Amino acid sequence: MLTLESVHTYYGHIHALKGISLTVNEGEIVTLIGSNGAGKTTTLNTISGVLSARAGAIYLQEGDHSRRSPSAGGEHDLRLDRLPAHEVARLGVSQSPEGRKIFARLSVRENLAMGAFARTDRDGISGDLDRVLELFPRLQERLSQPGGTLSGGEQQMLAIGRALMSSPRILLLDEPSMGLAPILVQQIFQIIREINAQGTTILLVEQNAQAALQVANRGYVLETGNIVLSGAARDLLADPQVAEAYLGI
Amino acid sequence: MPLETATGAVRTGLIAFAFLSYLILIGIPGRIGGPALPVLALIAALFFWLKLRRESNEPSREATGQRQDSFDDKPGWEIGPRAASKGSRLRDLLHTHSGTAPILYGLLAGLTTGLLIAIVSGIFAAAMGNGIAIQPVLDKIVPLNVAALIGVSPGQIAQSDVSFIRFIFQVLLFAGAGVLAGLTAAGGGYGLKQAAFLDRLTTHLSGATLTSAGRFAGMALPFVLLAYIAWLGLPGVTAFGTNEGTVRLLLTLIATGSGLFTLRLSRPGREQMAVAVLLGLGVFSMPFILDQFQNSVMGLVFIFVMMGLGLNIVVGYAGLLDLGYVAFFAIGAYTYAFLSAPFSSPYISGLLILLGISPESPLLGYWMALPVAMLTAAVGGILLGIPVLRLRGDYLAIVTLGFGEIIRLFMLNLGELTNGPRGILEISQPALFGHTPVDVTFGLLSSQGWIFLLALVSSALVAFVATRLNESRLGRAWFAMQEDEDVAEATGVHLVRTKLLAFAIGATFAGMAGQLYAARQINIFPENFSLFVSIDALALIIVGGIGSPAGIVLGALALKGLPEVLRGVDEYRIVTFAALLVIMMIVRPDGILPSARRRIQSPDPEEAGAAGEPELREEDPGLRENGEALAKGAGVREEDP
Repeated sequence: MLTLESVHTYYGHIHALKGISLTVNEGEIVTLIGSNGAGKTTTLNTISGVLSARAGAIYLQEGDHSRRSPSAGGEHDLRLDRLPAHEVARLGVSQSPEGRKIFARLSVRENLAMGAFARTDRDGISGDLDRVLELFPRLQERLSQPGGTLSGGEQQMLAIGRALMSSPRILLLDEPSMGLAPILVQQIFQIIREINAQGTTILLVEQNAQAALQVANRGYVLETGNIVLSGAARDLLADPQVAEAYLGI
Repeated sequence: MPLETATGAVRTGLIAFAFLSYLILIGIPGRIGGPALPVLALIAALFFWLKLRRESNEPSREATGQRQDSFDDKPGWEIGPRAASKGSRLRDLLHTHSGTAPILYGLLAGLTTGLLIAIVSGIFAAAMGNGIAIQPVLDKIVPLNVAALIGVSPGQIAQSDVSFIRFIFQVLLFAGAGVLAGLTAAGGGYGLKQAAFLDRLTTHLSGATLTSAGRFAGMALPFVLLAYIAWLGLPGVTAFGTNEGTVRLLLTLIATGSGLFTLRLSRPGREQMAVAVLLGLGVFSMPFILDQFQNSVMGLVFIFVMMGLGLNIVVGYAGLLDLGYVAFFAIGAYTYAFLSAPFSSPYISGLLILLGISPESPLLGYWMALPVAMLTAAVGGILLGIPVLRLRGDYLAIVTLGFGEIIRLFMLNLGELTNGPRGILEISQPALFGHTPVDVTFGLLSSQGWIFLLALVSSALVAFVATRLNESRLGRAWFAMQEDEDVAEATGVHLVRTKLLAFAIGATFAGMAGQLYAARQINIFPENFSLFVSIDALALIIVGGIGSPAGIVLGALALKGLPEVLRGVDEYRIVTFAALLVIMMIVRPDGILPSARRRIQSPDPEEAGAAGEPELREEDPGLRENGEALAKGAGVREEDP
């Protein structure tokens, strides 16, 4: 569904991604793990169009949705790496950014509405709002409260909820467990499973490799801008190399 | 009263004295004339009230800190001030804020200020009576000023003929101001600010009548003032005999400003509707009541309200700091000037004659020119927007600053087109169906009154559009962009389009304002469009409260209206202005009437959560629901494991 072909991304002269190739199939949870500075967030930002790749290509399989961007061409696969971020968002790629980055001064309701910014189908939006509030009952209580007044866990829920409001075909989750209490981390991963079960494909970036590999179908291990290992999540969990480097076992 | 509180009160009195001394030294009393002393006392009362309110706004800190110990000993206080139930919070509210303490505090502070002022003015009066000139050192300390301060005629100062009773009266007046502030802080005034609690207070309290009486008294203020202004307009009526025009202008400013507070204090629903209609009638009748001078000032104020509302879209909503906003104002003004003034430049005249158009008669009337001016300004906005799309913060400010200057320099140097520094003269007046209303209302509406009326109508229109935009999808996109451009873009906001729309809409409003300004001035020159217009517009939205239309009106009244009242102390205007801004930033960092969204400053959840409760105490009725949810959120959070 989503394919990266030897993607190179730079921050000025710094070569951050050195030819990343990966695939996410429809209905999967795929996780990117790796230590700090490996390029996980950069990969997600490149996919979502916030950063642009200097070389390589990113393809998104065209969905049955008619939300086709005119500038994306009539190919079977849409090429994402040439599109600005807002067009990518319209194609159904939705990102819950690292560090939550909710809109602190907008109310929770407005934050969620911003998630559905690219959509015009009112019924669909209100349906998705119900769905998000069902997933995160805590948000229901705080709908008219400014996002900045939420606790860290609630902000994370809001960030995921906002990303879901665009009714994405693929959800990019960047470190959803960062800075959360262990009990909340469990809850978040539970919700990730639920979202996936409802039919959303998920690309998950995590520091918490163990937890991530437990929910994921497949995983990629990144190291300084390269993919060093890939495979089924179960195999990676069992891999002694991964265990030593990332799981600390 | 504990010693600590007493020293605090004296300190407050000293600060008030220092502040009033400044006003006296720059000659405000002499400027105000007869009612100088009561006005100064009112200013002091306002200051004391703010101070008292500030202290009573932090009861939880006090209560959980030092006071906790003493409370615990007494029976009946076990519930504790921080308990979550409504009842105990109410009780806490009452016990912390009622009683004699604030009144004593106010009395002491007022006495301190009054005594010091009496002593100082006594020294001045005695010195002048004995022929010692203070003026060479303090240039505004002239008999007129000191006499106004003491409340006597200047002749009495010269002859050293001021009775001691006068000084006693001064002291008593300020002491009274202190008591008034204390009373307001203890009772009604607190209720006023506590509109969110008001319903509960009225149902729970026996003393509720006092609270609602205080509220209604506050709400009646603008109407009383408007009636008084109208009465002053009758032939033969004067205000205290002196400076009638200035007094009336000041009252008009206060009436308009307090009207906004009244609107926010009234309960949503029928009451608010009624107040809004009455206020609207009052404000729209002002152009007919006021004289030429007051109308011209009010016209300028409301032209700047339009400017502020437009700039607010760019700065307040979209978060793009634009220091060259005057450019669009100038574009609007010059567009109208081109279309409606006879061309004095030979080049253009020759061109027009060649085309068979008489250069003497205006091309388009006011209303036909309006869309042209707006459109031209909008195009200007987009042209500025395109090169600065990638810039943020400081860089954006500098580039826009340059743009503002470029437009002014164009006007100055494109002599063939704009007549250069000689300006464009005889810009035609706005007419309605071929007549200027000035002609057909039998002198009821002066020419400046007509401009004021137009400014009022246009500002109301602009305010309506701005408010609707704020609540719209586009408004949300602007806010999201302001918070985080990258995330906004990732949620599907087209950054380029959204930014350009902000620039274009902001510029359109400035174009409208500029056109009206040109009509008001009749002759315009490039110097009318200096950097200071941008700075004024920016300052007024900062003072008023970025993002809030009501705040912008207040800001314009304070920054464009008050200086006209203080014309006599012109040379101190900028200093006063600067001091006012600094004080504002300390006392109310979000402006006089901040927008609801600006209230949450800290994105840090812990801090914002902790701030939730005091925040609620500041809520006004319109935001009641929001505030309650906030409080509820904070409460629930505390129960978390």
